Amino acid sequence: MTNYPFFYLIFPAVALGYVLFMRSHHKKKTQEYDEQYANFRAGALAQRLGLQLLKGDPSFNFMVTYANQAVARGATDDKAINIDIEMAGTPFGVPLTFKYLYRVERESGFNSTTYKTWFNCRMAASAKLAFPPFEVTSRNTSVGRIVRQQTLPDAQTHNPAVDAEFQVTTHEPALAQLLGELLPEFSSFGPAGVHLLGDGQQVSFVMNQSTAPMVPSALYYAEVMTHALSTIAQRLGG
Amino acid sequence: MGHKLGTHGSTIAGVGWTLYVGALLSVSGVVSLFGLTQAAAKIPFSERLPLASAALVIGALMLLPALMRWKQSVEVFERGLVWHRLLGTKTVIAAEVQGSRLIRHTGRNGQYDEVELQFSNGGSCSINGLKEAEQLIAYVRAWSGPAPAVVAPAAGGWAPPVAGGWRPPGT
Repeated sequence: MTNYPFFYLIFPAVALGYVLFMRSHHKKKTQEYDEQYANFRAGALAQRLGLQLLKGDPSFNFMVTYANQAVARGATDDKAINIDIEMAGTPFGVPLTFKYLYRVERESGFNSTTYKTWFNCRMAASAKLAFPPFEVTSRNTSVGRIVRQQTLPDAQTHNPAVDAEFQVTTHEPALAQLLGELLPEFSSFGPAGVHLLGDGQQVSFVMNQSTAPMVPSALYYAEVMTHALSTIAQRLGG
Repeated sequence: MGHKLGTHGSTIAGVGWTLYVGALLSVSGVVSLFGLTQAAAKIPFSERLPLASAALVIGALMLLPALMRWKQSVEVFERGLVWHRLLGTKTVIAAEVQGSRLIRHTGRNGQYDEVELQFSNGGSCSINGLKEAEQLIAYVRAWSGPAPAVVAPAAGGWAPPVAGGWRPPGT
């Protein structure tokens, strides 16, 4: 023992101390952020948007997901991460739902680990009457191209500002023209990106985990989202 | 198959050590075969040939996965896709696709995406190393997604509900 230089013993101790300090620091910072963005916890967000939390943990923070113990711990072979939140209401007279599903299952094999991930986050406004399908995506976002989900042809809205900012796809020219009047409300999302999906009955704002529009940046404009979606659903389907 | 929606290029990311070892073996095979170094030139050709040939063949085989990844692309259409590969072209019709999965492989060699398509005849195929694989899988899923709600046809196409009709309460 006495033959070893002093730093042989002190370096591992310093490294261990540093790791412990950083873990504690990270935990403290996460708690601070969770408090700072408390208005993005499921319960508070639902109240703020005039919705009712139907399912899920009211303390789950959409801005600071790592504040949730299950997310911070990560999936294990025995226990999956399963965040399933649903809220609904009619803040602007149109049925509006917000769903968030994040599920990760883990399977450890001999030389590989498989993670199965399900992610779905969208706010949807229901229309009274059916309307033709459409999709709207921002042309430019801060995190790359938006993944389109429908195979529809490009359409012009005849609003140059809207056509420059958004790519509108639909088979119906009249619907594209109407969207040209309604989409300026979504301009406030800016580089966060907009992804609207009209499936014929509902108009959804789709949010993603790793591609634009990402959940935290899109939910930053949650109030605008609820109002603008409700307006589109009213105008398209009464 | 309808109009074209886009083209997906490929990446050799995640191919791994076979790329480097294959390239080294191929280069050493060429050097040995043609006696490009002084040391190699001193050895008679008949003695160099077996080793050089073996290095070239093994090197080429090891480079094959990377080459196949690199020389592929996928053109996506409204109702199908065309997969251009080094060893031929495969056409997939939307109606044939029964299921799909996006698998992200992460390891010491790097990361790449695999798009797995399951066909109605029980077969399947995997497309590895495509760029923007998430977009491709989204289009594939759109083929098998639920049909959009039926909208009553109107003269001159669809028209929005008349203004002044239904309004939300309190407005």
